[in-house]
Amino acid sequence: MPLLDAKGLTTDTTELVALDELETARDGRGPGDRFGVTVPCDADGEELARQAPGAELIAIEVPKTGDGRVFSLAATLRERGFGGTIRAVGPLIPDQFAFALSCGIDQVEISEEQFARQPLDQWLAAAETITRTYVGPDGIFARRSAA
Amino acid sequence: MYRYDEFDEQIVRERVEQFRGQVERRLDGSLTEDEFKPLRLMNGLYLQLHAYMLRVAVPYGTLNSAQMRQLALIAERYDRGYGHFTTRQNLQYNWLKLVDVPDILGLLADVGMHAIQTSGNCIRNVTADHFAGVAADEIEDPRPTAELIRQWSTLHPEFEYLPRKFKIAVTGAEEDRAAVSVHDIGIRIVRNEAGEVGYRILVGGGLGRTPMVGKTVRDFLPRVELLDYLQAILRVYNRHGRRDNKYKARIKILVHELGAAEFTAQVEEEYRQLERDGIAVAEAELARIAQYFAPPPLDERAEPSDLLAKAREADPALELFARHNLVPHKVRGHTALVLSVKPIGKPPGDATAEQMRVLADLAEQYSHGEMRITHMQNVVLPHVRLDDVPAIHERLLEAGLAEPNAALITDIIACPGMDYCALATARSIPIAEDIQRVFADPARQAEIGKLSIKISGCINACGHHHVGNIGILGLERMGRENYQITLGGDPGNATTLGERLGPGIDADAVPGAIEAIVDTYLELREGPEEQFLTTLARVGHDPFKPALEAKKETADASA
Repeated sequence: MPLLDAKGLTTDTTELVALDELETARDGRGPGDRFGVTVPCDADGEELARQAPGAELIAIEVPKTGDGRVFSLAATLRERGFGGTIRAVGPLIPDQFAFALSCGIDQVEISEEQFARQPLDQWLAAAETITRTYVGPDGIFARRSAA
Repeated sequence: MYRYDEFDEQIVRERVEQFRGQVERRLDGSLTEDEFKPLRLMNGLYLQLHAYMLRVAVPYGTLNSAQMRQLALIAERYDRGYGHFTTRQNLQYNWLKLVDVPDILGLLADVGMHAIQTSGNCIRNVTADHFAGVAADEIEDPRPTAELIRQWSTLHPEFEYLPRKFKIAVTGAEEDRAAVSVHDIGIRIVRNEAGEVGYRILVGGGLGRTPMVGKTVRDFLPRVELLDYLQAILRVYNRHGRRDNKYKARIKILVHELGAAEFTAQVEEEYRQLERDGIAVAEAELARIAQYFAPPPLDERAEPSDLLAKAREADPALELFARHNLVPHKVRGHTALVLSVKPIGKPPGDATAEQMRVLADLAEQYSHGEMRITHMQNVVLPHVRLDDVPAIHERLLEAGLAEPNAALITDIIACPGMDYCALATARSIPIAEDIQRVFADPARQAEIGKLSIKISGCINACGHHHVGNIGILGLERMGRENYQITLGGDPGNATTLGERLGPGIDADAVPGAIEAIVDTYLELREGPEEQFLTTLARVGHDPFKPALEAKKETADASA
């Protein structure tokens, strides 16, 4: 299924396992092996940051376009120090891409059907439509106080 | 009032182009209707019974003359020559075409206006006391705080897809005129024992099908902590608010199901862990924004005004108007003048393009170019000299805006109801018009005194019927409109929800029932000073019940 990041289409060979298998998988890994976990979007970010500190990737399942829990979960993971890749898996739309990136999500995985309707250029354009919002390190609040 | 800087301007402009692109992608099939819907809603665009409705934000209800003229122009060019002021200090156009909307948003951007987040499951436009900066009982003007929240919540990446809509209101006065306890978050500007100004934070109020009064989660929050604390509340809600049932998705249900104590504990825990990067922002921004809300230069003048007193004596219509539509101003010799957009027999809150231009002109000439939209669907000229009132009154008479009924029984709040709204189960506007006709005589209105009637055309309660002294809720029963009457609602400091008087009645029985209720009140009150709620609290609902019963029989007999 198509995998997008801020630059365009991408690939990622990180192997996804269940949370309780992560430790075993990591114990037996070879050089270059990367492991990640898949979690539902109602997962507790705080706990997750504690339980999966060694994960290279956390993939968050998004059941519906309008389910904004993924944004809070990603933001919480970042605040609690998770430094690996965060991926949103589900029917996000291009117009949510900028929000996803701002909340610390690196990758979005969507269906082939959706990618056919909403090809890459729409995603990249949507991410750039609004130059900056108020919050965030490069947001308007920060720019004003730097001026 | 607040003026956009280059950043505010850029975000609004880019938002217009973004929406233009979204409309194009909807039309070429890139976006499905389901995908497009939240995008158009977050730009204030609804699909109603007959056409698209656009809800334009009037942030915290403050407007200047240039903005009002632009609203008039849009009404003429794209609508049917009028707009509708709403109970959330917005303006709605009811007859638009989808393809015109990007251009309309462009015209709004030209005067520093927009429709961002006036709908959708996001943080809606923030409302505030319509007498902000005017009222004598004010601790601090709430608008800088409201503007700070507007900026923070605009396209906030984490909170654009909440479980449900989210409304925030701010008041800085002792008397709560912004109904903060019936908002998702209500903010009261307060002073602590040390004399510092901060915020009391209420969460989980709301009307709708499950009316609830907000619970205090923080008695005193230092001002600079506001944005971070809001972040904590919104995050708890975004994560845990229900998404399985839209009728249980508001934060009031989460607060109710968890209990206020547990909810507060979760917010405080989240707040403790949060990276507090909003504190520096709040400090710098509140100071920057507050400059824009510095009061206009008003010189103290003689009060009372001889000129006005003489004119009142000579002109009974002016006398009546001055008695009801003038609100004390904190600067001597001035008043905040309430213009009733509730002419008898017309839809409450509707203003024609022509009337909007008159308002803009009057504001320019007499009120430092400023107007306010109230949640009572009226317009206020906030900084008027008492000496100028007679001249203004004359102009209002010509424009059909001189109804002397501010806060009186015909100053009715009503939602658009079944005449416009796809959700409505009954009509509201015609009911309001019928009641207004019953009480049309100004002398009778004056005798009755302050009494609020609020009408909703369905259980979603956009007409705020729960907090009307008399509330009317229009439902549908076996194919007929059926109206439930509640008594005792009050949106102010002692927020109270009205209680049902009895079984529902037919549409044509409503005006008579209201009249009987009012007659009962006049009979039972201990004097003209005793307001309806006081009488009701003293005598209870029982003496009012026969009014409803009698009317029901008449209605049945004539059916």
